[in-house]
Amino acid sequence: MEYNYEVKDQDAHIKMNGRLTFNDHAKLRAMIKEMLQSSSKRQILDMTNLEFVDSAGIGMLLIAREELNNVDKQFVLRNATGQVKRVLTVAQLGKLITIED
Amino acid sequence: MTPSPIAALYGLGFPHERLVALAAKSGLPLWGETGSQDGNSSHTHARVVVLLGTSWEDRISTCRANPFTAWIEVGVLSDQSLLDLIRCATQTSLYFSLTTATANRLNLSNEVLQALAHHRPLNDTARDNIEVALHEALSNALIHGNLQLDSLAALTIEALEAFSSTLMRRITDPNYANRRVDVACAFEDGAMVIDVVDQGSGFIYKPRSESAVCGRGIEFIKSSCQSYVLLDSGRRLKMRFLA
Repeated sequence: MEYNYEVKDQDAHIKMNGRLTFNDHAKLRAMIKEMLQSSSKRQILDMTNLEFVDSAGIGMLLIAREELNNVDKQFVLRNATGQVKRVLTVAQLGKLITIED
Repeated sequence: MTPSPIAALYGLGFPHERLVALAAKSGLPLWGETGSQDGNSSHTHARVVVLLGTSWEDRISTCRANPFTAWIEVGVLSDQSLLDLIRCATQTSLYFSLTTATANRLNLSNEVLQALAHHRPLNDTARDNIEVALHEALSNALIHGNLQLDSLAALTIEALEAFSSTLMRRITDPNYANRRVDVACAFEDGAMVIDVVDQGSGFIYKPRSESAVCGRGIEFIKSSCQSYVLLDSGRRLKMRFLA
């Protein structure tokens, strides 16, 4: 997995691509720290180019959500497609994190 | 479907003398080393078991398609252990037996998926379902089985850091990293059966709460296959897919 972080119109946009799996634990830690340091209230994860996510990837997204909640920031998942969208549905992540099309 | 009985051995980065000795003990012939037999129609149904010795990773692409149906990483295994694995490999359609360190590095689920697709045309839905279930089964076998890592203790970055550092330590510790993970695929009447086996201390499935840190893997498996069963105290996961 690779990600690109940029702030646009006050919101932080993280574009993620490739496969998000348990092997990405170090990158996810770095990404969460970057989100926590940012002054933007809304942290939007753009999943357009994310091809695959596993259960550990979902667990790490929940850590991001929890850490952001603790500092009063909002975490949003956007543009999931294909396998990623199906997995978010199976995990019922919409009950825990804001998901936008 | 009964696998074709014509089986042979091939070595990649594996000492020739030991290969010859194993061929004699297993009763299997050696597969031609020049690759010139690939086009020989009399070997169309051959099933070649590849023994992976050292420095094979940059050459493995030559062993991805027919007639190669099994990969066995030799690692520290004795001849007797290898003979047992060779026998398993010749009794199923596709077989992979690797160390934890290698399976983790290679993205084994993708390798198995490619091999399956080569044997059976898979539509996008079947491919997605098998990929999700196989990936989760292998992650569980490697992380919680062979590396014996506990699930994350909490939804915090500190818990993730603790998980990462234990993972990095164990994946380089031969006591954990040399443990085996085996994948066996068999084609039955209208179905594909995939077994994933680890050498950990077993696993007992417990339903989880909605916001729990872990435990989604088995749910992904459940939603992706026709049926599954945990055997050998959870060390063997048998999944069945319509195919």
